[in-house]
Amino acid sequence: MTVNKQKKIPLFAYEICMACKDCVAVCPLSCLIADKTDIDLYQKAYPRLGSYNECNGCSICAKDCPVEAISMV
Amino acid sequence: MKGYMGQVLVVDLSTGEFDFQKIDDSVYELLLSGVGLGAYYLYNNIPSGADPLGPDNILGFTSGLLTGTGSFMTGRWMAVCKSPLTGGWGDANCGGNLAPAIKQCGVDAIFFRGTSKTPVYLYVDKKGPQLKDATHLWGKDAIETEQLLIKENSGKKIPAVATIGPGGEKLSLIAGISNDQGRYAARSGVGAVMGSKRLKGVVLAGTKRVRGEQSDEIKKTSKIFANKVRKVNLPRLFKGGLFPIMGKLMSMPKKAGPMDGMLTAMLLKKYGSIMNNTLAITNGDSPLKNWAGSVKDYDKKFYKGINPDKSIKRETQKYHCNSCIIGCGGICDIKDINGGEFKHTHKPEYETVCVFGGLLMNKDYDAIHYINELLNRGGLDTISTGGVVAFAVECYENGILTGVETDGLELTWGNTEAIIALVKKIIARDGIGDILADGVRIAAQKIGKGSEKFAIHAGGQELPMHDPKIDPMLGVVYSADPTPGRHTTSGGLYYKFSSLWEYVSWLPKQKKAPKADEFIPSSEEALKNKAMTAYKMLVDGTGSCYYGMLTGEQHLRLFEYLNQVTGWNKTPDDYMEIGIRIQTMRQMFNARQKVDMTQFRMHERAIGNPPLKNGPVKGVTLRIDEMIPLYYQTWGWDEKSGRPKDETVEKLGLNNLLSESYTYG
Repeated sequence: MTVNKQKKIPLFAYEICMACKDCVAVCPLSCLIADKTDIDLYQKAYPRLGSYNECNGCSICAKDCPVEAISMV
Repeated sequence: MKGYMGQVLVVDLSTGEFDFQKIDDSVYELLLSGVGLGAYYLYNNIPSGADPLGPDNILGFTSGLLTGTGSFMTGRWMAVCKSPLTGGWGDANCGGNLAPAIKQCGVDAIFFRGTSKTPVYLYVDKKGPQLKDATHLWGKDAIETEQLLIKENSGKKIPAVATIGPGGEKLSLIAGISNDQGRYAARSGVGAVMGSKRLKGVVLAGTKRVRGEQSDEIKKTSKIFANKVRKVNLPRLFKGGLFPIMGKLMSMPKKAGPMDGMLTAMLLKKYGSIMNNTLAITNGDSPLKNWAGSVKDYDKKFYKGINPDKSIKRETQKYHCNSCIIGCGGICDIKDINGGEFKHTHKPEYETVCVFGGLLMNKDYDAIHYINELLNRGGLDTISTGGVVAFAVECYENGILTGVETDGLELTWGNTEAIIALVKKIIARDGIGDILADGVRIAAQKIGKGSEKFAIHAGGQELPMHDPKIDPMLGVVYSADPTPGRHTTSGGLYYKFSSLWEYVSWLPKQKKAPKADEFIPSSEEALKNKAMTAYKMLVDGTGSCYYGMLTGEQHLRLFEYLNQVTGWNKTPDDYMEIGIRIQTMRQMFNARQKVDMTQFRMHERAIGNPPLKNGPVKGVTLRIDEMIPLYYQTWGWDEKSGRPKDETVEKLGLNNLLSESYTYG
């Protein structure tokens, strides 16, 4: 019987995220995009998962986030 | 992993060969990466007397030692080369997303030597480097080229891209290198060097990971910094119209003491560098009317014209470089300007606003947004281009240039239409634009007729938009740094923010310092300048940001980051010695290239000779000829020529870093 392992994807805690884009830079598959602008009063561009299909759940973004604002869920 | 990759990629554009060269750990310990690694490589590999636009020159793309390690404000890269503009050491610093991409290709730097016969670009991914044909891109602007290169190379990883525009292709000595669609490594003529090598672009799609030794400790430091930056915000009611009043208040006290750098972070978060637009006019920082005007020449309409709120209203989103937690940049909607020729532009920086505003007596902010995009696409440095336009206007106003030479353009103060037309001509090297495209020094040589008195530069490089008469330390670095005419190396204001005296044993406790009109050149002032410069070399060796530096060491914590990333256990004094070593190596480069560094002394007008008759710096003439020898002395360089003394080179251990064929002395 094949076990259906559900892929884990990054979830961003925007109250912690500093929009530094380190996660975007380290993603080996370029599936994160920094264009989410409705978070703070400055209209900073925060990251989001742009491509669910491309993400392989490697969690490099979560491991490298300097302020630990990403969890894999 | 100590934050660095331990090797560099050398690309020979004449032969098409690639060479991955290992770099010994001792080089990183003595010079870090970034500008330090660049100085090491260029000193040892560019022959003395090399033509800056010839095959012997080397163009380097270097990343910082802290870049990509989870440290904040460390995402900058630096172009290094022998400068065709000054004839000596050349570098230009830039943010965006290129710096981590260099390291993700498994190297700390990419150096290009030789000259390609046809236009090419470098592509690097996990399979390795390739040179690809760029004939179809030659002639296209820098931003369109970047878009096409991303499209052409769309694999799994979207690449980071650097390009040149037509300015670089046409070897304009004021050309820069673009990345992230208009962020610029602009100064020193680095774009002309790239053009001379027929290298249209660099496309990086590596996926290697970068790590520091103590990941948990790095995160702790970053979180502390992040929490501080998160908390500082301007009151919602604050308006840009208040800046002229702030500037006026700043100019009043005769002495100024240390300041908390978080103040700059607070202003930068909302405005970015344009917080200075009008503040810098009333406090005397911003030069006006090609350095001959003063605040008296500026009526209220000008303040309204370049009120930074006008640019903020155009912002559709903020722009951050990699690892930045401030976000000083912005993407501005400009579809309503000039018939929608361009959809958007990076928010014009203070330097651009001032050089195309007050320096030219222009108050049309929309036009400045448009010119910004023209130059970002054309591939030219906005500071130098604005400087050379101001030179041409003053020549025209004084009858040295007439409508015959300017192809009918009426180059009068504040004539926005003529300014835009001239910018286009300079990018295209068309008519008078061809004469102006290599900067004011060469333009004055070609035009003659006494025009050199309007050519404001230091060592061939147009001066930035900060009047050294309110900050004498700036005047010294304009005139005595290995890259003259640059405002980002050191200055009294930066020192006041730095808190360095809390960390460095050999620095006197900072107390209130006198302003320019009561400034007396002294060894102590020279020592502060040396310290700030050495710290800036650490900033440039680690890939840190100038605005991160302005928050001060107590917030940026560069010394802590360095120990955490490398696992070294060095003291602030140890790190400052590294900064001194990097700066000395840059100066050794000039000495070895036989550059006459006495000709770096900035233009008389910037010195205050004759002094201005109005404004905050009226009557001030800098005692620059006393300050330069004191500065040289404090570094252990010859006080007349600026050449680093043999004993200084030996004491810093730099002899051990020189190749056998390129020894010093």
